[in-house]
Order: sequence, then structure tokens, then C-alpha cells
Amino acid sequence: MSMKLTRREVLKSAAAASAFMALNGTLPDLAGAAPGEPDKWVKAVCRFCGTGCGVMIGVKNGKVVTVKGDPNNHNQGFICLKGAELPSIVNATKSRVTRPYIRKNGQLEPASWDEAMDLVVSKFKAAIKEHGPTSVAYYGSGQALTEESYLANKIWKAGLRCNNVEGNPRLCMASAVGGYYTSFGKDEPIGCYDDIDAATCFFIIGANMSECHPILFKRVAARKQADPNVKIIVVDPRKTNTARIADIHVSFKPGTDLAILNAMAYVIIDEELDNPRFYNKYVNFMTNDKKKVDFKAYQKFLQDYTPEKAEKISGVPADTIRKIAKIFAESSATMSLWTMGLNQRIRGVWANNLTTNLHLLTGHLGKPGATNFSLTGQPNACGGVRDTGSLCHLLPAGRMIKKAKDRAALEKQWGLKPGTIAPKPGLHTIALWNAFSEGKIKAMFVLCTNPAQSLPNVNMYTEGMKRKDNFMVLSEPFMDAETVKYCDVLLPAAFWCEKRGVYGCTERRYSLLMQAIDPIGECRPDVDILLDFAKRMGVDPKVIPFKNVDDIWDEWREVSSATPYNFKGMTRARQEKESGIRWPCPTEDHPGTCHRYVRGEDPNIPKDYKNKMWFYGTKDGKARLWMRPYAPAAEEPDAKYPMVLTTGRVIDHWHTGTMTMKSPVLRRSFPNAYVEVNIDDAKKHGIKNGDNVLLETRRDKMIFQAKVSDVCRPGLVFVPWFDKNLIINKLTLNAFDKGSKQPEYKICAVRIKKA
Amino acid sequence: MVPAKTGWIILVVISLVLWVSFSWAGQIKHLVAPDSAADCYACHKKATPIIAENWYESKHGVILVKCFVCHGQPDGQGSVPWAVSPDPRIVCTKCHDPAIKRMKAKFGLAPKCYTCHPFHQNSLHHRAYSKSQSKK
Amino acid sequence: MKGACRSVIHFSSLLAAMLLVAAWCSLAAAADKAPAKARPVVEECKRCHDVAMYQRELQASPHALDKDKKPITCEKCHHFHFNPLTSYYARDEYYDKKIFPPGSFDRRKMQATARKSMQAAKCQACHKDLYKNAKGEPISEIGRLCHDAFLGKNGETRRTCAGCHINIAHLPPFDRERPFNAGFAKKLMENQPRSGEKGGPKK
Repeated sequence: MSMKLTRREVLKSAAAASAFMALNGTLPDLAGAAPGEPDKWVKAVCRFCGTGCGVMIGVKNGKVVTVKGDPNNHNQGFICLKGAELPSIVNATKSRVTRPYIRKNGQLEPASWDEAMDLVVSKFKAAIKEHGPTSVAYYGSGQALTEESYLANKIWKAGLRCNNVEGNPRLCMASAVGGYYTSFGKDEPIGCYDDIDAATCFFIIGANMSECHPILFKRVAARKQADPNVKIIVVDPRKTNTARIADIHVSFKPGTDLAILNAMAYVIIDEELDNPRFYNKYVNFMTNDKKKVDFKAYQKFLQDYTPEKAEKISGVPADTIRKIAKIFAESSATMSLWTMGLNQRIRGVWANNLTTNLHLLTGHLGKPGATNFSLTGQPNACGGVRDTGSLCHLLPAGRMIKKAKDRAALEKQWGLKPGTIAPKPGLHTIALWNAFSEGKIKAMFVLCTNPAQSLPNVNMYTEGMKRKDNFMVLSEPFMDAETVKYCDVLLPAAFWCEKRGVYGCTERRYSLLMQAIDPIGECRPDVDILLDFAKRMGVDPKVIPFKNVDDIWDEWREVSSATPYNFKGMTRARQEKESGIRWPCPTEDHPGTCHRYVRGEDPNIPKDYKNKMWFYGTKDGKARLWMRPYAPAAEEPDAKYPMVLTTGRVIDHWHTGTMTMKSPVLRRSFPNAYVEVNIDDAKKHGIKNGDNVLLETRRDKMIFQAKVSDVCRPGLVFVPWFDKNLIINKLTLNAFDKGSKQPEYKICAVRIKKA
Repeated sequence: MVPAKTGWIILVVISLVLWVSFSWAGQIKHLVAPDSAADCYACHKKATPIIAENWYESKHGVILVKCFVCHGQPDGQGSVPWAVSPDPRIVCTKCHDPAIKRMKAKFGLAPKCYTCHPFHQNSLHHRAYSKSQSKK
Repeated sequence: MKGACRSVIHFSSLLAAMLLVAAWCSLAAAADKAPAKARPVVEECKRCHDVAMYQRELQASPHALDKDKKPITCEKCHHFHFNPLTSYYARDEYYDKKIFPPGSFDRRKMQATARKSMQAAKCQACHKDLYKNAKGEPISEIGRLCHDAFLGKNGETRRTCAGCHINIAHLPPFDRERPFNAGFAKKLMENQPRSGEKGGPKK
């Protein structure tokens, strides 16, 4: 039967077709493969922040074409806008260093690997011969792979017998390390990201999570959406995007958070919301000069920090302090989250202690959702530098250079002659760069970091880099990094997914980055560069026996097994199958640990231990509540420089921008640094949005375009530090915390003027 | 009466013309702005305030999934192609792949995300982070 | 025989539809050329539209008065629509009757149609220079870029003036909470006649 169409049916169908087209347009649907679908997906971790999102790299014809979140890692498939732009950054090959360079007559000239490495080694050997092993150094990074940092640490401390091993985590996490160490006897957080899903109160202080830990911010916001009774307190002199989801935003005079935290403790005790059952069992009360006292002494100490007294110091109304203290204590599970606002201070360790104190006082510790959680800035500061002990005073897995017992234990594990490891700690970052700038350090190996932009009071250090009597070799992927201007030898480093190794993120999760593509040009993974260096330096091959990156991981696993870090269960095979495991993880069938120090969860604690919690890092198994006073910042505002300058990050850019500026969208989303000025301050100075403003500190001055808003409180200006054409670190100061040696990037005195 | 064969040919031709015209209409030329081309929100807050406000108040706005993450950039550079109506297979899967796979497995269809999920607006089921719009 | 009948019916119904459309269009065209009636135009609209509400909003808007401080009337921006329904009720006998109670029409749906139908020529009668605002001051950088696109100098836009410039004369309740309408909404609330008071739009 043939179907005959009437004219009307034709018209009707045409109308229907056009209506259908109009409704749906040309929106493609999810059936069928997307254009440019990858041949394979390679599992890795994002190159950027300490959240450590798992990513799946889509590779087609040997090229990275796309990226998506790893559904099996903690981020459950989500990534932020920087992670989403990784393909265009990986493919920015024209900006890469693709061969070694040697500086001759002020210019970087191409060289072969042999030429470059021979020169490097000759400089190091000469320095050690003439001035001893303390005249050389290694300055690494919280963005280097774990195996790279572990290897460098061993080469220098065991091979060259030099303890001048440092890294940029000294600039970002040292105070958190000091805080955890003084409060609990051991570094690294107790809880994990799972606590976000269980907390009923979030205390976010000194952290702009929405821009610096976006996927964790999303998790916090989702928690609040799931349960609107969850309370979020944001304590920050800037009203950032993070404050959008806060129930209360507390703005305070920069540096006075110490007073606020002590005042909160006062209120908690005054309102009888403290938890004697917890602290009588688990907490020692310690004075600032390390004397053990009792709770009564602590109460007396807090008399100086009534809410009214704290109001005078901080500008926060006493009622607000009372309110947030009560919310903190009354909630069933409170989670504190903090980053650089507390760490990058000369009182960074104290700020960390005082935040932890609130948890020790209320018992918000060890139960799901209740934890004091330091957010790590860099993707591998924890796993790579803190845990491997790649700092001047540390040894792997929390051991300390100054303790003879620790040195002996490591020497035994490493098969070294007793006494190989030098007993005196090396120079911390600021001291190291001071010494380099004075010509006392003769040869420095800089890896995966950009100190010519990231050091505080940086003019001092770039001047030092220009000296003729010191030598700096730099391993760096990008040609336009600021430090390239000053290095003597430039080595082409393989970038991110061109190599294989481990990143350990904020929540003690170690995840393997699998290699997705081959290194371009003559680039080599840093592990290979360091192995080559060790060989040429004549380091005993028994000390550095590794053939590849997997060998290094296996040794590190083994070394950890004698310590509470014990992650012997994280074999390479297991890492390839799974998407990250949290340490401790002693055996291959152990799932990893969510909460440390808790019986039943922490494998270091016997299952029949007498108490629920055991802070095994301290001699008596108890945590310590430190009575830290309020003390002002290193450079408070005064008549000459009446405002406070603070620096920080924005979501669009990572650190010094060497990577994110390669993405055309991220570059244009935020092309230049600007100065954020409060509306009232702007009016006072006659500054309109977009005007040029001159910022002046005691160290340098610089002109920025103004962004007038209500983000900064009056008296405060903010400048992001990603812009290599406007290096704000020329204006910051290098005063540092006496305990952690971390510089105070967050506060210095400035004056502004319409330019 | 029109014989069936001719009728179908006419139908196909008309549909083709309409489809082409609509897809052409979709490709409007975006203006070329100076270097802040990917700072879409700053301009669109004034130019298309309702869409901009919807985005800002939505989950994507709160967690800073900025415009270019889904729409790319007018000159087509970057990791995501320029599109007024992005392709969910390229864009949504970057973050929502697990949920999309669950949807597919559960309901069988592969619907276009937009038919249920208002991508610029608050979540389907209830207002996200309603504090930002509440009177409290 | 049956098939032929069907064809004739199909053809004649098609023809009738075409004739109706032609009649409709010619009447509409005629209406536009019709001489203005003695009564103010807004009186005609009152029969179906909630003119009192629209006028109250207009008084609080930036378009209450033109640059010569004279009130802006409806036909300066809108053009009246002519169809068999409106032409029926446009007769004098319906002059002061309310055909539809206020609030009958879905303003959200109307908004979309109204914006599309606003002719750029009517806006440009006063806003001749697209690079200066009504006071004669140069517009912002963003405004300049947008108007470059509108004029096709740099990119293009599908919209007319009213497609982007929204809520400049009227402010339906669902738009009153939008942050960019805060000033307009505030003024509108101030003008609200309070109960027991003579009140009303300020002259």
C-alpha cells in the first residue's frame, strides 16, 4: 500500500519540523561520542592546589585533548576552572624550556645535557672542596613529585652530607607543621575530607576557600545545602566570595585573630561549654615558656582575653565573639579550616595552636566532622616535602636531624655508616637565601619553584642572584619564569603529565600520577635529572641505587614502615588500580586511614588500647594546649605607612602564573594584578575604580590599577601575587616566625596615593 | 494529491532549509574586546543582567564555575570550544560524568542536560545557598 | 469522486485562511495610518491593560519625563496592536468599560513579546547618539563596546534596544527584587499611595 501525502500533511509536517527545530535548535545530545573523543584516559592528579583532585587526562594521538575529574578520587569527578584548563597549558609547548642552557656573558646559550651537567657538577664539587658541604644547597618545591623530593633529600643529606635542603613549603606550611608538632607531637592533619560531610559547624579562618580550594569549598557548600542547620563562620578581614555562604562573617584588624581565638576560649569556659571529660584525659596545659600548668592557670591566663578586651584589640564586637564561640562549642561536630591567613605570619605557629586549642577545650576531635583541619596550599607540600622531611631540620617520616636517635635509625634503614648524616640542621629558606645573597652559599640547585617572584622582600634576593660568586642551577619547564632571568644553568624539566610519580594532598592522601604523554624536546623528568646529578657528583651508588621512579617509591614505602607514617601497603600496583589512599596504610589490604590518633581507625593504635584516643607523638600520649598571648605583627601600620598590605591568590591563577598564564582563557579572565581598595578608603584618597594607585612600603613602591569594592575592610589593601610584571613581593617583608621560620606575607605596612 | 516520494523530498528539503537557517542563526559573532575577554561576568553584568544574576546566584556562580568553563572564549582559544549553547558531551562531562553515567544507566535515555537542569539557575529541586537571596 | 471533494475542501479552506491573513494585515496597516483620535491614546489601552499600574511604574522610572521635562506618553515607545479583537472593543461604546480586570495578563510572557516589538527607531527619536547618555555624558567602556556590537561595528547582537535595556520604564513585581533595579524599586515603593492618604504618583 503506497502512502500518499496530502498537501496539508506536507505543510503540517513542515510546520512540525520547524517547530521542533525551533524548540531544540541544534543542541546536541549525549548519545554518541563527543567530537574529538580521546583514545585513552590516563589517571592523574591536578597540577594545582592542595585539594588534590583526581583527574582523568584524555589523550588522542599522543596529545592531551581534554581532562575530566576522576570519579573515584575524593573529588568524585569534579574539577575547578583551573583544572579544566590543563589541556591548553600542557599544549603551550612554544613557551617551554626544551633544552639545557648555560649563561655566558649575561645571555642564556643553548647547551647539551653533558655540557650543562658537567658545569653544574664542577661548581658543586669546587664549592664543597673549598668551603665544605654547608656551602651548597637544594631548594625544592611542594609541587615536585614525592619521589623527586625524597631523592633530592637523600642525595644532599646522605650523599653530600649537606643539610641545606629546603623548599617553598617553608613559605606556606611551616607554621602549620609547627602548630601540629607542638600541639600533637607529630605533623599532618588528624581528620580528612570525609569530615566535611559530617560537620555541623565550619569555622573557616584565614582561608579564602572558594578561590584557593574550590572543590573543598563546593563540598562545604553542598553540606550546608543538604542540611541548612549547618553553621558556617568565616573569619577574614576580607569579605571574600567564601563569605557568601557564611552565616556570620567576622572582619577583624589583621593580626588580631590571636586575641579573638583566646577570647573564644574564654567564652567557651565562661558559658560552661567546655569538655572537662576530654581535656582532663587528653590535654596538658602549657604556658608560652613550656611550663606545664593546670586548667586553673589557663583560666587565669584567659582573663586578659575577655570579649570586651578582645574587642578593643581586634575591632570585633564582644557580642559577635560570644556568638561565634557559642556556635563553635554548641554544635555537635565542628570543623576548623585554615590556610595562609594563619600560617604566613610571624605568629603563625601560635595562631595554629590557638585554633587547635578550641578543639582541645571542647573535645571536637576524633569524631566524624569534628577536627582541626589545616588546608595545604600546594599539591605536594604534605606528601613531597613535609612527609619526606625535605627541610633543613627534618628527616623522612617526621624524624629530626637534631635527635641522634632519629639519625641513627635512618642511617640503619639507609644502610649508611653511622655518623653520615650531619648532626647540625641546615639553613631555613630565608636564612638560606640570605646566605646565598651574601655569597656564603656558593652553589644552589633550584627545582620546580620560582623564588625570584615568590620570596618575600624579593629585591634583596634577586640582587643576590646577580652575584658572580654564587651559582644557581634551575630546573624549570617554562621559559618565561622570573627566576630564569637569574639562573646560571637552566635545565629543561618534564612537565606534570610527562612524568610519573606521587602527589600527597591535604588529607594525607597519596595518589599516583600516571604518565600521559612523552616529555617534549630534550626535557627529562626531575628524577632522572637528579639521578644523573648524583652519579656525576660521585655519590656512592649504594646510597643512590635507584634505577627509576618506582624504585624510589618502594624504598620510601619501606622507610615509612618503621614510623607512624607507615604506608607500606601502598604498593605501586595498588596505586595504579586505586585513586589515592590515605596513610597510615600498613598492609596491602588496609583501606587507608580517615582519623589518626583514634582507636579502631589508626592502625598505629592497638585494638585493645585503654583509651579511645592516643596522641602517640608526645611522650605521655596527651595533646598540648598552648597559652599563646596576643602579639602584634612584625610591621604594624603607623603614621608614615598607615594601612595594611596583604597578598594572596585569585581562583584564576596559580602562584606565579607561569602555568595559568599559558591558558588564553585564564590569562584573559584575570590579565593583570590590581589593588583591592575599600570603598571608604577610596573616597578618602579620591580614588575611583580603574584609577592608578601608588603603593609604597619601606622596601619598594609600585603602581596598580584600583578595584574599589567592599571586599577589604577599611585600612586594608589586597594585591594578588601572580603577575610577573607587578611583583608585589618587592613590597612585602621577610620577617619570619621564630618557631617555624615562615615569613609574614600577610601583613606589612603600606601607604597609598592616587598616582 | 502529491505522490509520496515527492512529498517526502519536499519535507526533507524544507526541514534541511529550516535546520540550516536555525544553526546559522545560532552562530552570532561576539564582539572583540581587549585582553579581559574571558572576564565575561564584568561586562555581562551590565549587558545581560538577568542571565548574569541567575548565574551568580546559582550553584555554578557560588563555586565560581565561570562563564568560560562552559562557553569557552569568543575567539575560540582555550580548552573548551566557543559556544552559546555548549555541547554537554564536551563540557558537562568534565565534572558531571559520574552523574551522567548514572542517569544513562537508570533511565536509559540520554537527554540533553538543559531540558531538566537549568544550568544558569538554582538547582532543580531547591534554591542553592538561599541565604544570599533571603531577607535574613 | 470522494477524493476530488476532499481536494476542493482542502483548497478552499487554504484560500480562506490566506484571505483572512491578507485582510488582517491590510487592516493593521490601515490602522497605523489612521488619523489620531481626539482622546489620548492611553485611554484606549485602559480597557484591557492595567494602565494605572504601568503609569505608576513609569513615574518612578528614568523615563517619567523627557529632556524637556514633559511626561513621556505610551505611544512614544509602544505601538498599538490591531487585530479583530481590539478593533471590536475600540468602539466608542466601550470607552470607559473594563474588558479585562487588572492583572489578567501574564506580564512575564508579555514582557518577552513587548521587548521584541519595541522599535529601535522610537528610542532613537530621543537617544540619537548611542555613545552618550540622555544627559549628553559619554557612556562607560562596557556601554561603548555593547553599542559597537549593536551597530555591527564590532561583533553583532540579535537584540534591539529593549532587548538589553530592561526595566527602564516598567517594573513588574517579579523584577523588583533584582539588585540592578534597586533604585527603581525603592522609588516605586516611595510613590506607593498609602491607605488613608490622598497619595498617588508625584506630579
